[in-house]
Amino acid sequence: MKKLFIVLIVLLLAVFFISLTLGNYDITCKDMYSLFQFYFFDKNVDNPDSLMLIRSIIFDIRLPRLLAAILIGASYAIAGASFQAMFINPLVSPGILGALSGSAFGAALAISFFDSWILTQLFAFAFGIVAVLFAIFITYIYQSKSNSTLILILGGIISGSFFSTLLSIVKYTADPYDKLPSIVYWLMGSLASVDLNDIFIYSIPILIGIFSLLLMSKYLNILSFGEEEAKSLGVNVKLIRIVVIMFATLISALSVAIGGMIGWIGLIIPHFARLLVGPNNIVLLPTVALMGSIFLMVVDDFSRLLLEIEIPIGILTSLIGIPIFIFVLKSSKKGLN
Amino acid sequence: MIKTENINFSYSNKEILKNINLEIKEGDIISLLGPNGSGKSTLIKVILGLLKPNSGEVFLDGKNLKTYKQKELAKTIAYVPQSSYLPFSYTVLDIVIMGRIAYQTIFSKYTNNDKNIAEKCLEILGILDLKDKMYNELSGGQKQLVLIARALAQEAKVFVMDEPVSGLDYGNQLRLLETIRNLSNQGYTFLKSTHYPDHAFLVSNKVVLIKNGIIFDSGSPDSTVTEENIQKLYGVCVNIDKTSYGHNICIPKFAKETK
Repeated sequence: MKKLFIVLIVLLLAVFFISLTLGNYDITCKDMYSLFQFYFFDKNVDNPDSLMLIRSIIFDIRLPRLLAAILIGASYAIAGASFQAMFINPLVSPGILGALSGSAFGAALAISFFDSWILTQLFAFAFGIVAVLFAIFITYIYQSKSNSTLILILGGIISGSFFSTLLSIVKYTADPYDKLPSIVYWLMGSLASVDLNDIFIYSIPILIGIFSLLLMSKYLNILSFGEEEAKSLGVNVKLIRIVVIMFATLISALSVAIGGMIGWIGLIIPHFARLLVGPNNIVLLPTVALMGSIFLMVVDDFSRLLLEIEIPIGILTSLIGIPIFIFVLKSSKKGLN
Repeated sequence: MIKTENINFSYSNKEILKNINLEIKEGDIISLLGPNGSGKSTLIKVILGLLKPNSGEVFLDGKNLKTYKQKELAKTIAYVPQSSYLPFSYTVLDIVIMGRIAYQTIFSKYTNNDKNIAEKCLEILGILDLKDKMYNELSGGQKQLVLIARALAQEAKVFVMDEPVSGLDYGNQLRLLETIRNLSNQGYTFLKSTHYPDHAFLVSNKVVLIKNGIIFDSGSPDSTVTEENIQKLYGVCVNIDKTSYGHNICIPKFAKETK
């Protein structure tokens, strides 16, 4: 197992550095090396002008994107895997409780009424949380003693449809020449407009969320025996569920706020990882986090390089994700029989 | 060790358990006999602390069950459920180690000690060779043994089992009963519900008969599992014979008529 983590970490770093050199403007490894020397060893360089250009491309454009891809990929993957363990259902995705629909509505609302990137992010995040709270509220109305996870899923479906409908209303009433295209573009996901400062601010709560879910991994294993067995093994099922929902929702909503709707990662990566390491969440959760980061960085490279114009990353994760998912489902005996 | 006092339990308006008084002593193997829907499983869940009775108290080691924390309780009572299919296929060792969760804190990891305990528990039950197998690929009998191993790893003294032999073939049923008896000789206490009066004769030292949520008789197997009580409990006629080993055994009436 240790070996696998080392391989994944090396792979993550390799993809990260290779991706830094990829793009419309050619940056060679030599350029990167001289930039590195310039920054860390104050070494003089032959061509300061081109170095400044390279510096600006790396730090203003590529580095923030890659860091965003790392954070978002890890977040969706680990939120998906945690929800799958909690709901004892390998087909659950991070949007199961309505977080993504809520965020989409929030962002669309902000785009059509304001013209502020910060407000769009804030609304996306806030309505993601609101949608999940709404789902939990519905669950409380039912107050069913038995099979509360099923009721929770039902609450999530209701909340998700509700916010999807609200999103349709916003789209229908939005200015079709100016606002509607921005909403549609945002919904397809993009990492183009992130900047380094945003990422640093986002990274704190996201990393807290990811590490908290990692701490939950051994309890998530127990939950797969069902509520009664988990309780009799000495686990506070309710508390674990609340903590998992809280942090998975937090990191999903933040991810949507940064990059718009980027689907499928929370579903394919956990399945793929289960093929490699099995379903034990103690190993699975760190694995999916690393794999999600690598996957999204690679997909983002494709979105930048494949065509002259940038392809929305949400489209690519689906296009790449669906065939992988079909392949994984076909061969996933180890994970879910 | 366990004592219930005047337990009443109802789902909405339906009374399931009425005035249940039961005492379980250390080393007991208690068989809970009763027809389907008589309240056996509900009683088991009340004793495990999974369901709260509408009135009445459960005492464990002289302490009210309500005062136990989930973790503390798990270190005393273990639930051995019927073996079932898991949507996520863990290895046998993974599952047995999970019996150690009550000994973990949020920041702790399973240690080598936990792993050693888990392996020892598998060894006690003679299934150490299964440790790297996938749980879902095991037979019903093996799965049941794995779940007992998990309860052993939990280091609980009382094992509560809900129809442990259901779905097992004849050989696995007998092996499981033998395992229960061996563990009882080492000081473990068992409360199990069962549909087989013969199994009560084979391993139990006390039988509790429950019908419509009322305990209507209890005591030693030979004095409690009588022809009359079986008739009352299940509405079928049996003869209770003695084998040459001195064991009681139920023979259905019709079996004699056909000979």
